[in-house]
Amino acid sequence: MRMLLYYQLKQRRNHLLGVLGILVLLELYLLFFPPVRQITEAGVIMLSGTGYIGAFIVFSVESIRSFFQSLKLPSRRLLPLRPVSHVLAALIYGLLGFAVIALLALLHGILLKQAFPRHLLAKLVDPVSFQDFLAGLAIGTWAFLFSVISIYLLIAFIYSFHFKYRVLVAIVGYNLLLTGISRLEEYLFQVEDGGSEIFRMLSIRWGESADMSGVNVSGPSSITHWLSGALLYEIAFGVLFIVATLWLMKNKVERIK
Amino acid sequence: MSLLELANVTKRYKGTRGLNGVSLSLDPGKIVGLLGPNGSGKTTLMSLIAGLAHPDSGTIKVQGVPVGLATRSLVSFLPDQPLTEPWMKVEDAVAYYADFFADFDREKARELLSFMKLLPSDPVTALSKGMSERLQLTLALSRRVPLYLLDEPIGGVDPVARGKILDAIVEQYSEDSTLVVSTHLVRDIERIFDEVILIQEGKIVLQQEVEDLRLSGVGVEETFREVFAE
Repeated sequence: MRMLLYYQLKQRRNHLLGVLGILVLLELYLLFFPPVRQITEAGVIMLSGTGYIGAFIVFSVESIRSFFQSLKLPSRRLLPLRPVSHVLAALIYGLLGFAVIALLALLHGILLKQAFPRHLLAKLVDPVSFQDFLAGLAIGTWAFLFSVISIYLLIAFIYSFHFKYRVLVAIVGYNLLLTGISRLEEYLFQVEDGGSEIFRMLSIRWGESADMSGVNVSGPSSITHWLSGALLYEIAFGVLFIVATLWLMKNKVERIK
Repeated sequence: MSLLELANVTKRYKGTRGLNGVSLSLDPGKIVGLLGPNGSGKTTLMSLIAGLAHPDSGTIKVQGVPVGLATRSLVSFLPDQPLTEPWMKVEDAVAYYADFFADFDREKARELLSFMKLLPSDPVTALSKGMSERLQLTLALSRRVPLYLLDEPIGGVDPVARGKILDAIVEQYSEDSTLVVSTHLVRDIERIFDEVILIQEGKIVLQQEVEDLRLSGVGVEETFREVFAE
């Protein structure tokens, strides 16, 4: 698994470093030369957030791409590795990228608080404590894991069957499955609005107002919230997705003629 | 004990049969030609033995071990798709296989690269089709395993490259292992075979020692033409 992870990083190092480089340059530009004359303050904040979200999406796609290659390429499929090694290598690969983004965000926040307290971006991070950051990080990590694990299952399904409309069936089935899980969660745990508990716990709202008070980041306040039934329910489905993916990889996944 | 044993193996693709109840046994120490026209089931058979596909029914064993993770260290497979990845240089490809396979022989790989006139610093995407085939063969033959499966190793390359590839196969062949070579280009390659298996529409129609064929007065190519004549 470690060797596969090493080769995934080796293969994509220039690409990944490029993405991180662009993110750092963007944030440095916004830090030192905020274009407040060209766009609104909320626009600057939006641009900064988009940089992080964009990098997060790139690393999520990279993790999915890496798993996809493990199923598609003979150079990966013929390796003497268990299916779980392929899954873990792809997950850790994505998590490493996620961790680097989180570290950059933390450094960015500290820099804003300590050296640029009057910067418009500092208003965004001012109400966020270190505990909030850690809670957000934990929730973001689970959000990342749940998303990519469910997509791994989708890809494994597509590579396991050979009927004509398997891609369409897989995508529709995937959406129905996630919707069904969400509806069942609402029913079982009496949650108010749709969507995942984990996503709900991390609520980021972007608003445009003169004093930027519309920007609000919140996270869970206690461990009991973390261990709520809804969260355990989602973790159970995450584990189930992994088990199903591993079973398909071992018994069904094969080259598509 | 046979090196390779298939019992009543069936594999269907989209309603058509890739393989239809194939039973087969191979002993160690032979170069075996798996011959048949395009679409006869050669690639399907090799993919099943290598573990890249799963049979719908029947069993496949290598040295008595059912095909799976455990047989990855017993089989070296050269598929009809590259064993390399586009980001690699030749030296990266060698390092990759050496890192993952304990049976990979770096010295053998170095000798083969030299024999094939491949430069370690060449990017794999810059290689011609013939040179790429040589690199794939180098990677597959540099492992020390009981069973080698080469799927169309000379398909799509010019006659000069074909000769070079066949020379490399014969040169590197170890007599305690078995090498199965699939092809429909019988004339170019028949000289290296000890045994041939003829496959048609997913069924084995003939399995015979080449020496026996010659003693009966017909060569491999004549037999091929006779069996597959339309």
